[in-house]
Amino acid sequence: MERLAGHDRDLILDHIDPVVDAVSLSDPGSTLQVLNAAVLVARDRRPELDAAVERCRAELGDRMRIRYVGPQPPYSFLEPVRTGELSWG
Amino acid sequence: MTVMQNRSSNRYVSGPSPSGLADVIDTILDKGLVIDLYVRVSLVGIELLTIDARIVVASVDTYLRFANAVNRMDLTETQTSGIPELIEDISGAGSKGKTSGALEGVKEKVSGLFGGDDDDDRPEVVRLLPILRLVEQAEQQLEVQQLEVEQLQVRGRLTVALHLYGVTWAGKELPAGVTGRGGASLGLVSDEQLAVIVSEVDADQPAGPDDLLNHARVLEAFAESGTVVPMQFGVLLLDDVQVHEQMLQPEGDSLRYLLRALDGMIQLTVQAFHEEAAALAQVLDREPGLRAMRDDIRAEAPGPPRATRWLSVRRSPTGWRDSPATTVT
Repeated sequence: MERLAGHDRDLILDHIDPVVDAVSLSDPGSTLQVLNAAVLVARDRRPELDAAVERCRAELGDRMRIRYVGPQPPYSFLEPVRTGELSWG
Repeated sequence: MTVMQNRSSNRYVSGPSPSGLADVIDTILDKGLVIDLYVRVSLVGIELLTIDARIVVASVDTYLRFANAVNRMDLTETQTSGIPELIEDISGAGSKGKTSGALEGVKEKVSGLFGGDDDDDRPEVVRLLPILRLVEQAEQQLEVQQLEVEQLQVRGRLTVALHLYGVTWAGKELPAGVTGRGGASLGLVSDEQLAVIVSEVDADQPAGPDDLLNHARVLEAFAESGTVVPMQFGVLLLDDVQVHEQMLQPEGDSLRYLLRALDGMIQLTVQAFHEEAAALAQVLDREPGLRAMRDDIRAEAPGPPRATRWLSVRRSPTGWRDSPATTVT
């Protein structure tokens, strides 16, 4: 089970990674949850992220439920930006 | 395939969905900008206007956190009884600051609910611990509040205040069709560069889950078209003057920095859940070649080196797969 969770998490992250600028991973809230990620993305690249999530659903839909929520203000990235942990250029 | 096509069909839609209460609780209560009024009070001495604001923050915060924790238990516990009374006890006590005896009662009730006869109650104990911690926190806050609320009642203050949602660049239009807490109209308190999104609220009214959701919806409406720095839920200031004095003037530099750094960026949440174990096992039986599938993916998209910041595992950007996910704090 754990191996599958890791595998499926990687699969999703591989799809999402090329599109986004930053990912903030949080602890899953339950044993069945394999991924809890907040992603930071440029507004004009959102259609690409939509498509990436859609591909994940197409591939994993038989064993996973994927929640995709937003757009939200950058709650999870305020603190990293403020402390300089996350910076650009 | 276009993005919009499937939007209304079923759960496999392409576009993201708006936040639900659970998302909001996870994000807004824990993240977002706070003004540390308590620190400011202790620095400048007892200054009554600031204390007003802090009390509102504390009581709303206490109420919501506790109600949330209880609700969560309600979701996981199918046979839980007595939860509504707990909420009533705590919201009554938290918002009015009348008595801490109610909290003591809640503590006993919570213990009673889960102190079953059988020895096999470990999971319940684990779930119970955070609740008791919340009760204790609420008790501590209440002791402070009680005194101050009494002082305020004498002075007859604490009525209309401004609820703060977030900060954006000045000159933005208010999004159409969105109202603030309790249906109040939204407004902007601006200086030359920054605008704080506010609406008037009755500070005596305890906040509920609807208000929390509304806070998120307002921010999401602004995030649709512009960059916005969100405030944590529950930050209230008395009037425009306070917004200038407490937010725009002291925090202006850091607010501008945040807005510039996050310019044009939005956040989305991606969560993935396995189906129940039984269903999962069936899938695995049908698909022994999972590993092969994974390798295919890698082969398809080797791509350039990762430009993504993995906030939880910054020390080893190439080894994030092996690291346990941790919360960024």
